[in-house]
Amino acid sequence: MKFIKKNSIFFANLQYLKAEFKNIYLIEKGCEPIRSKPDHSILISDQLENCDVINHINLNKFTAILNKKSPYYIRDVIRTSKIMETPDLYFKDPLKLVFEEVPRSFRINFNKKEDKQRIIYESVEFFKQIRSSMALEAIYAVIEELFMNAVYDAPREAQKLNNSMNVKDSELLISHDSELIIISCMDHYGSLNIQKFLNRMQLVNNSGAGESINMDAEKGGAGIGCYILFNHCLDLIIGVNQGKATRFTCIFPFRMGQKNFSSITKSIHFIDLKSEAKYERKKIKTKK
Amino acid sequence: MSEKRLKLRNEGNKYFVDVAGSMDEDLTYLDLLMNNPMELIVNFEKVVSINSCGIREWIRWMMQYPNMKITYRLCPKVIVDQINMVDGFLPKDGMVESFFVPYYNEDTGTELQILFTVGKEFDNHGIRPPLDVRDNAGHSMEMDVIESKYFRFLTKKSQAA
Repeated sequence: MKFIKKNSIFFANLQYLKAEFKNIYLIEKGCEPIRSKPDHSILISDQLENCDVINHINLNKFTAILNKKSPYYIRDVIRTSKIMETPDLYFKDPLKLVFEEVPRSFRINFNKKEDKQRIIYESVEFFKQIRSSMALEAIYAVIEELFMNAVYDAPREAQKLNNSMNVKDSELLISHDSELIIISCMDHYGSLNIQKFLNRMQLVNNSGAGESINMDAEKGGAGIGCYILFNHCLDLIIGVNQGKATRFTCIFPFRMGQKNFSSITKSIHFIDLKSEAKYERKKIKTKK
Repeated sequence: MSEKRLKLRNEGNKYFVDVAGSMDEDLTYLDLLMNNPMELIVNFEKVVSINSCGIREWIRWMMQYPNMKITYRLCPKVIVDQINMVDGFLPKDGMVESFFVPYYNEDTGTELQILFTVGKEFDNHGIRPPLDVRDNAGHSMEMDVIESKYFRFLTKKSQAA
């Protein structure tokens, strides 16, 4: 597929998605009950609230939910089609999924808790010209949670799975254009359990952070970081290649009022490279 | 590290703590020694961020003093969000004396943080926002929150009262 102009890309991609893959569901008026569908389907809707997004993706086993009313819907569809076409690309170069030409960006490697101050300092320097307090608040919140996950949670889970602990440094990748900021963090433990993560998100979403918070520091994290990440993003993409890598990518606006931001339903996308029932293609009819 | 982000002083049994920077997993309150505290006033003005472990550590510290009168002062949005999102972040009988509300101008992109103080811009009966907020250039600014969500903690308090 060639990616040329934005509008033509959008239509080409949406038609491509619907033509090529069985698992695209479009819900436009009201939330219809999901009857039978293959796993790993993608839901495109303009009717969902944020609480519904988490419930739908967990209970109905969607791989991704895109919000049709998002001002970045075109970019979301393009990104989704690229992921469905080449899931590996998400791990190798997530910026290419979002930007046609990669704007300014920087990468920083880390592997221990003492690295946090350096990361925060360099990130703040990179975003020096941003005057949006909403964006700065999101940058701090997202970096904090992604860092903690890579340095504390990922290795702890890897140990439980008896995965290798001798892994490369984790990487934080930060970029922005005039519309969007992307913060992406990859660890090389690959220990994320997507279902466990979703269950946790749903619990916090439904019971509230106060009721769900893990107060026992001996047992690890507070368990509400997933919810904090989701709250600060417009799009959240989570990919795991079991035993090899986990990548979290958070996308949020470069400049937007709080009220506007709060009114937009978020999109979410999970990628599991080892999943068997991937994006199921429709069979191509051939002439005999 | 914690000593740079926490400053404690007292007037008899009344304690004042200033919190600054990042409230994270490394911020420990163990060194804040309070002798039979009756009241604690917390100034959050210089807090920049708080992560999930920071939220937990704060709640754990608050739980150690169930009978102490607690007041939060100069709360930035990041703290107000936790008060609304996490039950227990503001103890049940705790009080918010003042907090910042974001204002925004869609056309210019200008932002302002306006301080709401108890008895002036809010009380038990509701909020009374300033009538006309303008930036330095005279542009009109609008409250940039979803009021039912941002002021939820006030509604909960007045219902409890």
